[in-house]
Amino acid sequence: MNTRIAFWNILRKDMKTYYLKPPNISWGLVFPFAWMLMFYLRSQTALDIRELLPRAVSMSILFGTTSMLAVTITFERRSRSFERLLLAPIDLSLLMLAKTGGAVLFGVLNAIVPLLVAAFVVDLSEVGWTTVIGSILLIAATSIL
Amino acid sequence: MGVVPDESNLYDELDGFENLTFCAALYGTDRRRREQRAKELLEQFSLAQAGKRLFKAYSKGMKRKLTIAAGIIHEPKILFLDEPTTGIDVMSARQIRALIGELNRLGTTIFLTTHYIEEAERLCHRIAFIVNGKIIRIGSLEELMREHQRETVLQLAVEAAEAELLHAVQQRFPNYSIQTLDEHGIRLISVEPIELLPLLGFLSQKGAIVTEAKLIRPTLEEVFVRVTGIESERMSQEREGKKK
Repeated sequence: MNTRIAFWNILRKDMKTYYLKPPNISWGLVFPFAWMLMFYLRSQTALDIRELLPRAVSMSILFGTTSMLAVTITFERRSRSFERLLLAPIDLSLLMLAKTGGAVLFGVLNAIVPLLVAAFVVDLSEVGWTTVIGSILLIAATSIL
Repeated sequence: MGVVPDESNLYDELDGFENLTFCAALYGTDRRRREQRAKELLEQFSLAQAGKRLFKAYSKGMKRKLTIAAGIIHEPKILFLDEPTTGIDVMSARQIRALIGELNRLGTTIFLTTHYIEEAERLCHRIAFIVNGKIIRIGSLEELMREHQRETVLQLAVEAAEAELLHAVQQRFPNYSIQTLDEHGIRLISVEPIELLPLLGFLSQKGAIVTEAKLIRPTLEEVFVRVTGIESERMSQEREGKKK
C-alpha cells in the first residue's frame, strides 16, 4: 500500500479542517504583532528590530505549533473520527507524524509573518537565510515535543 | 476490512465528495481511482446532488448513507455495519437495506449488528444472538426457527367453517388439534408436519372451499425471547427508547 498517499491526505485534511481556519489565521497574525510590540514596550533601551526579530519568530512558531496540535486529536476522539484513522492500514508512527506535521507546517507559516513585517521596516539583505530557514524548521520540529 | 460505526464519524468541515476521497486515501488509493469511486458511490447512494455540500449540512439519513459509502470506498471484502438504520427515516432505511443486500450479492461479507430483529431476519444469512457480549446461539434463520418450532401450525381460510365440518376433520385427522379463529378461519396444530394434499382433498370432498392456507411460524423475536429469556416487553421498551 502507498502510505505516502495516506500521510499527505491526513496532513492536508488537518490543515484544512483545523489549522487554516479564520480564528487560527488571525491568531497567527495577531500574536507576532503582539509579541513584537511587547518586546518593544518592555525594553529599557531602544531595541534594534534585527535583534528583536529572532525572539518574535521563535514565539510565533511556538504558539503556531502548539495552538491546535493538542486539540486536533481530542476533537477527533470526541467525534469518533480518530477511530477511522486508527483502523486504516497505516503505521501508528506515520499517523502521528502526519498529525504533528500539520502543526509543524502551521508553525513555519506563522514564522513568515514577523519576517514579512520586519522586511518592511529594516534591511534584511545581510541575513543568512539558510541558517534562518534551518532554525525555523528546527524550532518548529522541537516545539511540538 | 471496512467498519461503519453506529454514529456517523465523518468530518463536518469537509463536503461529501472530500470525505469519501479522504477515506479512500487512507487506504493508499491513487487520486484518479478515489475520485472515480467517490463519484460512483455518490450516485449509487443517491447523494450526487449533495456531493459538494458540507457534511454538517446533511440530514441524518444522508449522513448514514455517506458513512456507509465511506466504509466501502476501498472495496473491502469484509464490512462491519453497526446499527445501520437506527434513528433514520423509513425511505432512507429501506434504501440502506437494499444497498446492504446489493453489496452482499456483489460478494462483500457483512457483519451486521442490530437491535431490530426484523432487520436481521430480512437481511442476514446467519444470525447470532448476543447477550451481555456473549454469543449464545448462532445459525441460519431456518436453523434457529426449526430448533424452536415445537409444532406445525397451519391456518386455513374456509368459507363457512361450520361445526359439522370441523368435527369431520377432527375425526379424519385425530392427531391434529383444531382451533376456530372466526367465522372463516381455523387453525390446525400438530407436532408432526401437516400434509396438505390429503387435508385439502378431504375438505374438498366435504364441499368446503379453502381460499387461503398459511403456515404459521414463530417470529425471530419470539425465538430470541425463548432463547435468551429476555421478556418481549423489555425488548420493545429498549427499542422504543433507542428510537427516541
